[in-house]
Amino acid sequence: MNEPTNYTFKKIASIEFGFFSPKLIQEVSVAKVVTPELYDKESYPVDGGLMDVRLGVIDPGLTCRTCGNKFKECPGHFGHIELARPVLHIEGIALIFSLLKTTCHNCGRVLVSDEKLNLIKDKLKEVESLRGYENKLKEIRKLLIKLKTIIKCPHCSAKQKPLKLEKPYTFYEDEQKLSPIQIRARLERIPDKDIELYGINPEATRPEWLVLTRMLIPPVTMRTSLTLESGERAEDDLTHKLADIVKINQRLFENINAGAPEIIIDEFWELLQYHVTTFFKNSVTQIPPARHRTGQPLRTIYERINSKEGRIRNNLAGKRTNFCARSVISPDPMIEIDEVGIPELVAKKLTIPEKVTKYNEKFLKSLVEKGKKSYPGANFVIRPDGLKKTITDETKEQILEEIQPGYVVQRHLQNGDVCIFNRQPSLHKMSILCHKIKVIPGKTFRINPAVCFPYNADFDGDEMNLHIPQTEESRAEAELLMSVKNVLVSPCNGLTIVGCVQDAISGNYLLTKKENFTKKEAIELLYSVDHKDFTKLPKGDEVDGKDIISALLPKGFTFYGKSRSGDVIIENGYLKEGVLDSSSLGNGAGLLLRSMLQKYGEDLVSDFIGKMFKLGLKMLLQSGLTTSVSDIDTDSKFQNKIAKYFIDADSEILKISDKLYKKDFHPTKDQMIEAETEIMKILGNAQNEAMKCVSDYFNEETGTTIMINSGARGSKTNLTALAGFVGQQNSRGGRIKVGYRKRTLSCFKKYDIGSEQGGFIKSTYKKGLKPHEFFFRAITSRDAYMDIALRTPKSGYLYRRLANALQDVRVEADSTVRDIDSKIIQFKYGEDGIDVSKSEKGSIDIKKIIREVAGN
Amino acid sequence: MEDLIKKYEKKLSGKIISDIKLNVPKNIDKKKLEEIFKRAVTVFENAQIDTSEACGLIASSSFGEQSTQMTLNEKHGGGTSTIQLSSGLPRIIEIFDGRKELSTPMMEIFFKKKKLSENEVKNYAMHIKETKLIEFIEEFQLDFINQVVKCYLNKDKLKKEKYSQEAIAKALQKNMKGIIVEEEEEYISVKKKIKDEKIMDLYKLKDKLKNVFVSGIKNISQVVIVQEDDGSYKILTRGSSLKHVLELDFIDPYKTTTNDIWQICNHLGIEAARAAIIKETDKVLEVQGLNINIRHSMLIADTMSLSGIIKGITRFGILLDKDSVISKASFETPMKHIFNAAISGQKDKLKSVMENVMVNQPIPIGTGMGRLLAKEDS
Repeated sequence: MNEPTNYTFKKIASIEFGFFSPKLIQEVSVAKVVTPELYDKESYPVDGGLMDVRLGVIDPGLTCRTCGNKFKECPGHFGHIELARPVLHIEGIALIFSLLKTTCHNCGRVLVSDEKLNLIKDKLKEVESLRGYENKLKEIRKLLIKLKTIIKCPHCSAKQKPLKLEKPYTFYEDEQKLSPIQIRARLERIPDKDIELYGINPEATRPEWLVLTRMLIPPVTMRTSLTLESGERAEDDLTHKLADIVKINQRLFENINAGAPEIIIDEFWELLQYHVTTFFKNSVTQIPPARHRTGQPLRTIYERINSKEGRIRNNLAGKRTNFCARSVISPDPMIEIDEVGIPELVAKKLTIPEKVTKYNEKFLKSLVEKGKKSYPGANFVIRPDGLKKTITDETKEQILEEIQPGYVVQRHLQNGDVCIFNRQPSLHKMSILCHKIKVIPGKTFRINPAVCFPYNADFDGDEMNLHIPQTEESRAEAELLMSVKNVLVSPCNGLTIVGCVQDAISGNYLLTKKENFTKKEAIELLYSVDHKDFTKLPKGDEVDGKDIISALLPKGFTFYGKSRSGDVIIENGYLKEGVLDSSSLGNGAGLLLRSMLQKYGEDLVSDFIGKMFKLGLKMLLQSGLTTSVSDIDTDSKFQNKIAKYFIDADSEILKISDKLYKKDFHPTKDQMIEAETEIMKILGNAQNEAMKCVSDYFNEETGTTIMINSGARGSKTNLTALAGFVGQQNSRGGRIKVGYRKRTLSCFKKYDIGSEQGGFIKSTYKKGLKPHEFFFRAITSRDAYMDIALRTPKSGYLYRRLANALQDVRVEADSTVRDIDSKIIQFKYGEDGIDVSKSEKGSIDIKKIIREVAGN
Repeated sequence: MEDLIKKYEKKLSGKIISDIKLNVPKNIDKKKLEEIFKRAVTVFENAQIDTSEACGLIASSSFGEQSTQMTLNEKHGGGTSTIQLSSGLPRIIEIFDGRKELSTPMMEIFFKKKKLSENEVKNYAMHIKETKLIEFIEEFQLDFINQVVKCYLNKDKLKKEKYSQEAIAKALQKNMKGIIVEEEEEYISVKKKIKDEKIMDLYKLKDKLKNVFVSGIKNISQVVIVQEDDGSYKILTRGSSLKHVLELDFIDPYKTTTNDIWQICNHLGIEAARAAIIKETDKVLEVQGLNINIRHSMLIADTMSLSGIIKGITRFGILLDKDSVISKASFETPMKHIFNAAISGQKDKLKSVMENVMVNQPIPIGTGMGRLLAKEDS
């Protein structure tokens, strides 16, 4: 293979910040802009105009006169304008103000005597070296406040005049306006040794540079123009603004040369200042923003950089990518948990570059022969010299002949290729995982429902993104670090995050409970989930559900745990006792899965989860599970029993009410609160007892109770709300507040503090709510929705801040935790260096080890 | 056992060793014990965190992800229904911001003596609670001719709380500026040092007098006595003033605590404050029923207390302390940071993650840290 050997690797080591001095502007500038015109009659850029070809080219066909490159190759070059009169830089106003205010107008020295100056400088240096630049700025700010009150210059004893800044950019001294020329002259006088006091580095910036005499013109390439359909050109906002500046500047020159009266010159000067200011920042509070003819404000430099849509957060910190796809997701329990089903349409569009070697030459050639349109084929071929060729019917034959080791074929995606799958919002690292591709018919992405939880996805129309890593390194990294198998346990709390959900749980629950299978049935069931090892099944013809599950468990696996209803005992790879429900198999729990993971590794566990999932579904297919309204039917005896709890509670409340509203007794606020807590307690007790009564009543195994008991879906509260009573509606930490005069709704009597008017719903969802109960339910529902709507942005901002603060914190090789400045944050991660996802919730289970060794 | 512990001391963490000591059966033979130690070491070493793991990001995403599930419900009863504590997301934000003004400051005060009668506790509670003049007042009389406010005190209340008129007069003089307090037989007369002609001013003076602090500890507006299961008492307060409470002689200074992290930082030091951050965060998580490992809150607390004082995770706190200009600029107020960097001629050495993302270079975290040791140009 003949690889090009003359690679040059460049790495940016550092970025320096500084200010452009007039001299530097002159040096970097390739053209002086003198005319506001952009194009001539032939729509060729005017020489000395803002679109001058020396500043770079944006039209195909033109060549840059500076570097000789064509469109898209020329990086663009800076030009400059000579301003007729100097103007102030808007970002520097605050600094100019404090500079003027704290230096002598007579001698230009800072208002501190020389000895003191050295002391302060030493102190600042110390602060900077110890506590950083920002703390130095804080010190400086404190210092400057003190200096502002000094009246007499300690160097030349001149009396200081009061200085005023009229925002945004006009300075007055003794009620007299200071022109930028005067300001510049003053700033020039401040010696280098003094400006260090303001945090200015004299090597980087001289204060007088903040008053612009010469302005840098950004290259054409950063303000490209659009050609509209009508053939008209729409210029960039920056070009518009620059044109304004050049225009006014030109007129100011003419007026000065013509000896126009001072007032007119001042007016133009002011206008120039306005245009230069809005060129830098178009959202200065005190001046009206410059607008398009349509009235929408121009987006100038500040707006381009700032905010979420600005350059930094939108283009630099976040990037767009090729080789990606997005589609609706739908469930497919029959594919493995680390697979993703993609439609052929996507597989044909996305490609993987594969280098031709003598081992795969035949294979790749066969793909090339298939071409672009039929699957599996290939789309492009890249020659070793970098030329990319599209495979079409015409070029196919020639390419086939040409292909030899060293070529790269961009082939279609095939089963088993690595991809990265993502769902927004990507709140944790499990939101971006690596899957293996499986090409299947249809138009959606298919995932195993078991991986819904890490993505927080459901199938009500969610869309997800798919990325194809293009290099060997990235593929290896994705596969080894971010595959679904690697994140079975969450680093947040050490709980499993991939596990059975919904039907799979209730199915397995039923399976562990069911006893009479024939061996034939058992083998059929196991074979349907792709399990072919039947040696663990018992010898006779009678098999029970536990045996079937035992067949999936690894040999020698011992586990003692708890299910929702009792103990789970697994000894030597056999499920001896207990049922498997959501606390063993589900996500957000799963001690079972975790101890299996520790002993046998992620491959076995992910395989186990996949098989258990399918087994549950197959089991349900056989036995069936229906939830029906008759599941929640109740008899009148039960209804009376429930009602009696509430009648008792009501009579107790009545006692309190009687005490409170005795004749001639006016309850104080404290007494009211006390009564309210008392009532809440009574109702809470009644509610709890009634709830117990409900769960006692529904002790039969129906579809509904199976789902609840196995933890697949629904809860006792849900069942109670359907069959027993809905219960107390709470809003803002109490019962429903009084909204009318002395009552919560107009249908109640005044001074009623009973359960009904306080938002206690005695009806059930099955029977239906009474009107007032419906109102109360609506209150709490609305409250809950508001809560979500308000919470999301708040927690999002908290997350952004946390991530920004901690993004550089990492574990070093010496097991200390440090940030980028190598400041030690922790000597050992979490004080003992244990990774949460590799241990039992961040600690090590010694008892288990002792049990294993000592044997009891 | 002892020599085994000595042998494995450096390889295991203290907690594991004490766990082994606690749980090992007494009659175990030495071989098995050594086997336990050996296995513990393997498990412990396997569970160690990987080098160059981005543990900061994991901590922040743990909180970020889980905080979407927290409620915004502002208040929740802390043990009693009368004192409401802010909880949920607002409280977490409050802690991580490192705010000095809390929305619900609260103290938990324990007593030195184990056996106390309820009366004694009530007495102590009275001593702690901030009392304002209005609580002792029977009525105000305004004497417009002499420009004097006459305060008639409630004698019963005075007796009950063991206060004399004299003491209150003294407290008034001490705690309010610009007034002259004179004690008469029946009442306390108050007038301004500078005489005003306006009648309204006298009313204003009266209103001001109502809220003058007389006794107890400032800022503690409410006290609730709670009896615990073992019969001992504690006091919960609304409002917090750690310094003044710790000065009292009857409280237990080792157990008494506040939820105000800044007060802890100022009076007990930064390490105590760090512990307080962890404790307060965990309290919120527990109430919310969320499960975030303590390591993550520890890391955040450590970052916040790194510089010796509490720094909030805000653009004025630890985010400002970063060395890197671009990293700061990418968070908030980019122009300010870029301008400051320009005038002081700063250099960004591209050490941080953000800059390297920006210039498309491998980030210094995780696999981006891997380097090949090789000679430059041979």
